[in-house]
Amino acid sequence: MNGFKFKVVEEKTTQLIENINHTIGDIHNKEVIFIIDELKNKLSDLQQKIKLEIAFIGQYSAGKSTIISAISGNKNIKIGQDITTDAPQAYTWGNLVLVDTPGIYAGRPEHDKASIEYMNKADLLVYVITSQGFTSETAENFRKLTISENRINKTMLVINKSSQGDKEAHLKNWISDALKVTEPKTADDLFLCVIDAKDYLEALEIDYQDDKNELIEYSGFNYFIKNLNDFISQKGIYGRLITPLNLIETYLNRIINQLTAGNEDTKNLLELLNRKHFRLIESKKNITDLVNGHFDSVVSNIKKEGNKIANLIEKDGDKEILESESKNSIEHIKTFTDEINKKIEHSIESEFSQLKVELDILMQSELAQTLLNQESVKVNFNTDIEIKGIDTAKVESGVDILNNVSRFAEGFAINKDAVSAGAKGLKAVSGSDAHTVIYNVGKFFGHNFKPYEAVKYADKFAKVGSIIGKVAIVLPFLIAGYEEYAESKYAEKIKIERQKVREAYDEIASNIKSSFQQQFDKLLNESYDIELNNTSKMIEAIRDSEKLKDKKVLSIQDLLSKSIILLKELK
Amino acid sequence: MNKYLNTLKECSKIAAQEYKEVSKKLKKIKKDLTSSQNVLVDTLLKLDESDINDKAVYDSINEINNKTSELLKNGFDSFENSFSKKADNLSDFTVTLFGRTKAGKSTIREALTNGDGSTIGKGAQRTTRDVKTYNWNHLRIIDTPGFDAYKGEEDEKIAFSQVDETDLILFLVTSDSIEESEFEKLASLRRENKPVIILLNVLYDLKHPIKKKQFLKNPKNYVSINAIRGYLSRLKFLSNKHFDIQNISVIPIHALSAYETNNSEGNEKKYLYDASNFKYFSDYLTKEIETSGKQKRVQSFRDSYIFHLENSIKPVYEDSLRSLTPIVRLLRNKQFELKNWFDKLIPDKNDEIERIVEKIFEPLFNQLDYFVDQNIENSDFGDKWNNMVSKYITENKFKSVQENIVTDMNRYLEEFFKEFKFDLNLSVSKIKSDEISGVKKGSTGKVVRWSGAAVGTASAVILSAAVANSWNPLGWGLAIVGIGLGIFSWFWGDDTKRFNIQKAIMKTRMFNNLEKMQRKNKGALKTWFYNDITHGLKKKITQDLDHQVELFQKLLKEYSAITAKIDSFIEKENIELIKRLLDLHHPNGYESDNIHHVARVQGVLTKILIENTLFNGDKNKNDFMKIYGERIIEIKSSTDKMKFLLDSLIIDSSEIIDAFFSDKENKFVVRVDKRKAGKIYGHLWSNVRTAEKIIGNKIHIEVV
Repeated sequence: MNGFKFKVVEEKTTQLIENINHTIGDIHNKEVIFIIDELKNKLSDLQQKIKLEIAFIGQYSAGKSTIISAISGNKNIKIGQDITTDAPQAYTWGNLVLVDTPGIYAGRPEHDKASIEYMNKADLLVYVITSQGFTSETAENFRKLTISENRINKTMLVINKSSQGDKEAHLKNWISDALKVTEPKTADDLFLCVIDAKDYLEALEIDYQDDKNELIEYSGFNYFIKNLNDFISQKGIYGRLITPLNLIETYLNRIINQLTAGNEDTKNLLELLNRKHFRLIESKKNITDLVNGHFDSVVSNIKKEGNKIANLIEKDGDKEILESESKNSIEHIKTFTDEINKKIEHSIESEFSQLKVELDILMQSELAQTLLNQESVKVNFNTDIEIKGIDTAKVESGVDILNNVSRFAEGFAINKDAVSAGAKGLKAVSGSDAHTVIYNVGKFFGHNFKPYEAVKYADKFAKVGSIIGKVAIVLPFLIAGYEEYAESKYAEKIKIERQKVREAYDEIASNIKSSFQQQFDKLLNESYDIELNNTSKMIEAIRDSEKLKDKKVLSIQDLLSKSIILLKELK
Repeated sequence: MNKYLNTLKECSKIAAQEYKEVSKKLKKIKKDLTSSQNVLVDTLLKLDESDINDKAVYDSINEINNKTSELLKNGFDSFENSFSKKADNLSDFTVTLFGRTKAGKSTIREALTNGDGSTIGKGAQRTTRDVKTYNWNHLRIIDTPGFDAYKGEEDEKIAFSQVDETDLILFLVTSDSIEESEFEKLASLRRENKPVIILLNVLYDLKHPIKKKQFLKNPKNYVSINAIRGYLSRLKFLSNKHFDIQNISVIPIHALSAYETNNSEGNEKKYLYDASNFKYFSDYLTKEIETSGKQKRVQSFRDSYIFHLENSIKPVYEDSLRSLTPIVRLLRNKQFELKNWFDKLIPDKNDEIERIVEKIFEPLFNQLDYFVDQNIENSDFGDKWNNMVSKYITENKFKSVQENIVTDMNRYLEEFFKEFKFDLNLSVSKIKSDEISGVKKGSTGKVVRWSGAAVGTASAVILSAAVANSWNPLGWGLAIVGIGLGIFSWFWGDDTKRFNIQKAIMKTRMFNNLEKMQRKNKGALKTWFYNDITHGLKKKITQDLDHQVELFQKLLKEYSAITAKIDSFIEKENIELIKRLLDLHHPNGYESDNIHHVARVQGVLTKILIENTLFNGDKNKNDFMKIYGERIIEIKSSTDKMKFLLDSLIIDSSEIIDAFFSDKENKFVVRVDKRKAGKIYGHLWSNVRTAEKIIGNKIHIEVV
């Protein structure tokens, strides 16, 4: 690889960072913002770094501190049999910074975090194992941290503690065991060397020069220093280029994890909302059928009254009877309509209480309890992702609903003021504050369900008197010309007059029905329809935000693969 | 030496005796549980065979129970398999060497058997891949393949299969580093409460003259307490973390020196032997066997028996219970939902039939008067009315009443089934995630030695298939069955000819006929609804499901009874083990009849509910615990419920925030500060688990 190619990769990396900033800039999720800030800080730290940084990584007690002490001649470095290094320590040595890290995967998760952090930050890594070799677990860790996570090209492998065994006889096996794990990387790729740093330090204490030299030779340390120099001069610049890409890879993965967390809960919440929607629809259908049945019976009874009166118009009919009967019939209609009014009220009440029972059962279901009983609610609606050019209004109204469901439920039928007040306050509530949402879902589903409020409307049904007044059944021919008609035997005329009476009653019927209908529509509108509308809006909002989220995740994944391609180009 | 040999002789005798006794127990319990398993389905299903018309009900119960039988068989197979190994070596005291690859097991063997070093590896991993058995110091030593090698899972399995034969575990670690994973494995080996000695092999090569020269300057230095202090603190940290052994025995050795002793002479030989620390190791082992060899032999049989009851047999029922319970709860909820729906549906739909038939007839009633007025004088009055009637009253209209009812029901039932499947999947996935993240993993670490843990999931999955089928509305045969024809028989008859009949009478007659027709149609639809839906579908569905749920509940009850039975067996065995060890501990007799309860988490903790004490003072008790291998707590029962609770939890009132009995949940609630929680739970929840057994009530620890 030549300098020109380095330049290209450097430019591409800069471009990639810009793209990342652009893509993640509009994510407003708190946790994600936190991760993004961290990434930005780390990247800018990298840019300010002057000296080349080498991190020594490995199991506890592999001898990382001993090696650094032997390289730098710093005798103040703490070395021990148990876990000795608690936090990364940086030692300056000429133009280099040597970083001693705590041993990884020794049952101290806080150590792992600090060490892995340095694997991202450092320009180069020296991975230290011992002549005991990798165990199945440390081998997996090595493969994950270097090969899978693309750090292998800035890694040197050292086998320390050669004096634990017969170096001459065992060396070949130590190396071949290690290379099984590092596959496909070879000893040359990894600048592999076998040393004993402790022997080297001990040799420095020996007075007798021959012994001293022999032990230094046996420790392999001088060969290691030579290798380390080669490693630095060959890989130093790679390291500088790889490091930001490593960082980007780690952090983009974290962002994706954060964004996709809680998908299961979202699925469950959607199912819950769909169930509620289904029950509302069914209940609405039921109540509509029932009430329409009552309307029909009003109509048919009024028509019956009309027929009864019409039948009184006869050749030898009695005018007074006709008049009084027609008055009576109006009274009948009033009584009857009142009765039906009561029946409608009753039907509405019983349907509402049935609906409440069903919603209560739903709230007690495993599904709802699964969502509500979570100690740490992970539902991540990510409704606060805003992307330019997409209908954010819809998403935002979805957020309103998510955040204010309780208001809707409290004012089930009528309280429009509460709804808009809730909407005004929405900006104060964080969209990712899933706790609130879930808590409110509880309220949304019947705990505060007060359908009886809506029943008030039933009282206002059918003001019968005024409707009849408007229709004006004046029965004119009975008053003015009954006798004339009766005597002249104009039977045809009677038929017509009868039909007129029937029509008049039909009109009463249809007026009463439409008055009922109007009230009923209002009731449906302010109970079921609002609720249905809210529910579907919520469902839609969640789906939309999921789509947005998926889209965002996809574009971040795209950036991630770009950074991985860049890493590969550097090989 | 005589004492040592005598002890070993006695050990053989005890082993033969224990083997006989325990194999009798094993046979008995196997017969007992297997036969109760076989009769289970018979008794459950035979009771009301006549009512089982849904095959799926039978199948699902049967499938679950077959799975349980199979698991029970597997459990006993692994039980018997481990036990039969013991039979072959009854006369030998067996010491097994475990440790990670390259730790030096072969070097130790070569040193002990005066070998030529040919089996010592050349620095490569997995030098010993077979189990090798040799005799040393009148003991049977088993050398196992090293674990933790890269891609060496097979070796690990071979090594672990040796633990059952073992009377004493020698666990080899090295001065290179002591890894978490090594202790996870040791913890798993310890679960049968086998005694452990840790050998710390100091790795220092002697091949290179300079190295040897450095070494021989002060050879004993490398195995002195001072030289290994750091390793000891690491070992202490890990043994505290992975099991509650307070005083773990650690012996530092230099195995290479011991081996080199065979090839050297004079002073060097002496130096090397001193440096190997093998004399200390050998003396320690001799003394250990002299003081507790017999007890260890007893424990090898008894603890292994208890371990298998607890881990191979009990989980068969316990796990099934755990995974079936939420599913049966779901079935019950769904059953309730369905019943609730039917209860509302039936009156609603009957009303609807009334309403809709009336609506169909309504125009005829309404136009009757007008029609008579208009047409009474026409000669085709009858035909006209007939036309009118057949215009409004058509068979299709009644068919569509049926269709609408069925469509409504189908819509609901489809949704119901969709929800049912979703909920079932939710329950199953919950069981699965519990299985992965829950107690199981916590109690066994990463190494699960005996399978059986997957039972829950397996049965749940079986369930979802069989149960889902029987709850599927497609199978309920909901279809429109045409109402009987012939209701629409013509009714006009003779009246057509007698149009001169008075209009009023005619009207009444026609009206009555219409009413009759309307009534007949309502009746036909209601009969259909009753026969096909109320009596047919509802009865079929609810009966089948009621039956299914009832059978599941019975099955759960049976399983929980069997679990309780196994628990009481285990307790009985624990009491017997303790008495057996006490017999050896107190040659002059002791009071043992007042042991009320023994609660135990094997390898960790034993609590004994007793009026006085089994020991003569603290030293006597400590000596016993050292041999026994677990902490023993003697607890006195108390009429003061709260005192009894706290005593059982080995805490005093100053360590908790408060404690009370919740009548509603029928359990004790103990509220503690976050910092105290770990102590109160104990390792592997052992403290709470044993306390629950002692006081016979659930305890909920609420961390504040």
